[in-house]
Amino acid sequence: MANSKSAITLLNSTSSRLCFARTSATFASAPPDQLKRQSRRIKMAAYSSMARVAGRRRAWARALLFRLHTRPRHKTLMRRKRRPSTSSDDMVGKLRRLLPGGETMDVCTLLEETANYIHCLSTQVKVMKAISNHHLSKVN
Amino acid sequence: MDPPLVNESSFSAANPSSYSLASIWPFGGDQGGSVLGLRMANLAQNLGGFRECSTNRDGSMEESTVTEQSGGGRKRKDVSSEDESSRMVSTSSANQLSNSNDKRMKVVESRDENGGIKAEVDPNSSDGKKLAEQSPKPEPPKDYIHVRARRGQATDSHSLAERARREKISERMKILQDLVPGCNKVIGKALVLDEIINYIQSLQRQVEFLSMKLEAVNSRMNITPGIEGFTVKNIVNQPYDAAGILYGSQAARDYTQGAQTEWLHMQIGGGFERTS
Repeated sequence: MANSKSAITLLNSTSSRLCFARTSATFASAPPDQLKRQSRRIKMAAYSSMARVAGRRRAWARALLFRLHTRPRHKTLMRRKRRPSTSSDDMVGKLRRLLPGGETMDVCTLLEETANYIHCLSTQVKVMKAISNHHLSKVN
Repeated sequence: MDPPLVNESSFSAANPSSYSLASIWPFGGDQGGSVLGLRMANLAQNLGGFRECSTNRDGSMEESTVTEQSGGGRKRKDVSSEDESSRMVSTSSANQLSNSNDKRMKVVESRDENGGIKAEVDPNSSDGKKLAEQSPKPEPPKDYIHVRARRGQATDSHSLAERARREKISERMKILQDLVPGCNKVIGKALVLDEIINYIQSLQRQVEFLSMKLEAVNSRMNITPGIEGFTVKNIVNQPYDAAGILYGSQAARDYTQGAQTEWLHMQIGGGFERTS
């Protein structure tokens, strides 16, 4: 029940924010560069709404909002390649890099925040699927 | 059973050892006496006649001498059913009659350990004094510590905290395993974490894909005529000029020009002749 409530909140927030992202993203739909930027804007709106729904109390949501607001450019290009490893410490490090703000957590908090993050991400995916299906059915 | 016989033998044989016991025993006089007296009250069901003199120091001394002396091991059997160390007392007190000193010291030591463990069994006598020898922290559950201690595991505060942390982590891992589909069958922490990481990555990619899809849907919706299309078009008109001014160079102008022609083509295809 709490899950459905949060999903509805997420749906409202996501749809309004996506509308905003869409109106601001329709500068030019033709060039592929701008296409990419546009879809990134939608993605940022989606993540931002997800983080806002999760609330400021969650560490990953705080980190995500911070990262979205003060976005360093080309950070992903500077990431080093690491050799594949399978020990559990390396996996924890991988998880740290995957979770927003995970670099500063201890392992307990990391796992707890990961559980919440997975929950929110799956809800987000469901909501975005519902929105796209809705629009597709309206178009067709 | 016959209490007077035991009483006699205890007073005859084992008085010096009882003094050594009192010196080894880490308590003050009346405090130790009361503790021993309470333990004596436990023993008094077996020993029967000792209940009267079990409250003061004399009673405790008598009781401890009985502990060492008892040639007939059947009185010890009832006590030794509580734990292993007192069973060691009974086995060593079976050949106590040889009166060797090292044996007696061994009995005293095991007796001491027996009292320390018994303190957590008896709630009256365990007012933190004997537990202070074994665990410096009183806040974790005591029987838990003693179960661990009897198994031979560490009981200091650091390892206890570490153990609690590890249990917390494994509990969280279990929650995560329930959350990630197909993760229940995977055995091993690293593999479980790998599954979780893959799942998060797939979810993030799904969000990315869905945002691209929504963008595509959105662009298709802009082509179809509607009220929103006009308003969006009116908003959209100015950034082109801004971009043309901003870039300034020929290449950028070509770029924007190409973009504009394509845009116009799209608008014409959508039926936006008025706005162009």
